[in-house]
Amino acid sequence: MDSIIIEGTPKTPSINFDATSGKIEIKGRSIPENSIEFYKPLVDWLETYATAPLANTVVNIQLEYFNTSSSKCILDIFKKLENIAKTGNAIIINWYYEEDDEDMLEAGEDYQSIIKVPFKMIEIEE
Amino acid sequence: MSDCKEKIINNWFDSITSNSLINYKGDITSDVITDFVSRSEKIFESDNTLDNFKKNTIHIFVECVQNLFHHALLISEKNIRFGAFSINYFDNCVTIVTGNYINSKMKQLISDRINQINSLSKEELKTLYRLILNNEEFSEKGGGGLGLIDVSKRTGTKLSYEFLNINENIYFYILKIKII
Repeated sequence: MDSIIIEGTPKTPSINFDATSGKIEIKGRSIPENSIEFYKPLVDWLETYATAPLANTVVNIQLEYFNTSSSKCILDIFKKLENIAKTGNAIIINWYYEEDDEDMLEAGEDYQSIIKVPFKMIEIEE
Repeated sequence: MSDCKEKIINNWFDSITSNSLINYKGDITSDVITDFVSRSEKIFESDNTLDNFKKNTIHIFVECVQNLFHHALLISEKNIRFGAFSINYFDNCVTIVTGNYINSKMKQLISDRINQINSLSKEELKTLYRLILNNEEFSEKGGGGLGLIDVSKRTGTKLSYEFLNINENIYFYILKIKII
């Protein structure tokens, strides 16, 4: 299965979805006007990955900003991961937030309250 | 749109931008948004007092201008999606003001929405946000229905708004957000 590697832009995050290592990363800022267009290939990739996932998948989310339409798309990503976890495979979501960025921590907690996958909240220095 | 009504909008814009950090009126395009987000970040990074407001202001600013992008009425004779915005700093708080034309049928929907949001406590806003986040619905314009809730949740202040009557079918909707 091919990886997805996308460079970050001023409005979209860098993406590294690697089926060989089971590492899934979204980093940077996610503020596109059309979030669905950006995230659909990622959701589709996860659907394919879910047919033969690794026993352990590590997800790293490190966002500086994201708009509310991205927030729904990110939830779609997490729901695909939740489906993988339901089939007995281990998923861990590392949610990174800058120190003093309580809103970003709370955003992670919002997802944690909805998605039945272990979240690890990781504070990083600005 | 008559010259008289354009004058009303121009006077309003002059009144909100006399001391602004950054402002714009005109066609709201994706490139305009990218440019003004970048310019706003630089302004907030260049000043120690403003730097404390940067994260919240930029986040809220993005939501506000993308609301203009998605919902401002298209002015057919000019073929532009007209919107206006300004970021101001005064008396230890940042204000973001936006304005755009809307259909009269949107007026009631917007005022009901904002009045509902303003009536909620911080905890109630958080609960509503999570409920809508998880409702799996997108509007026809790609919005998630979360924008104003998110803005209100982050500012901790009430949203203020007004409508200028342009004609029987068109209003100019002004939204003012205070970040403390």
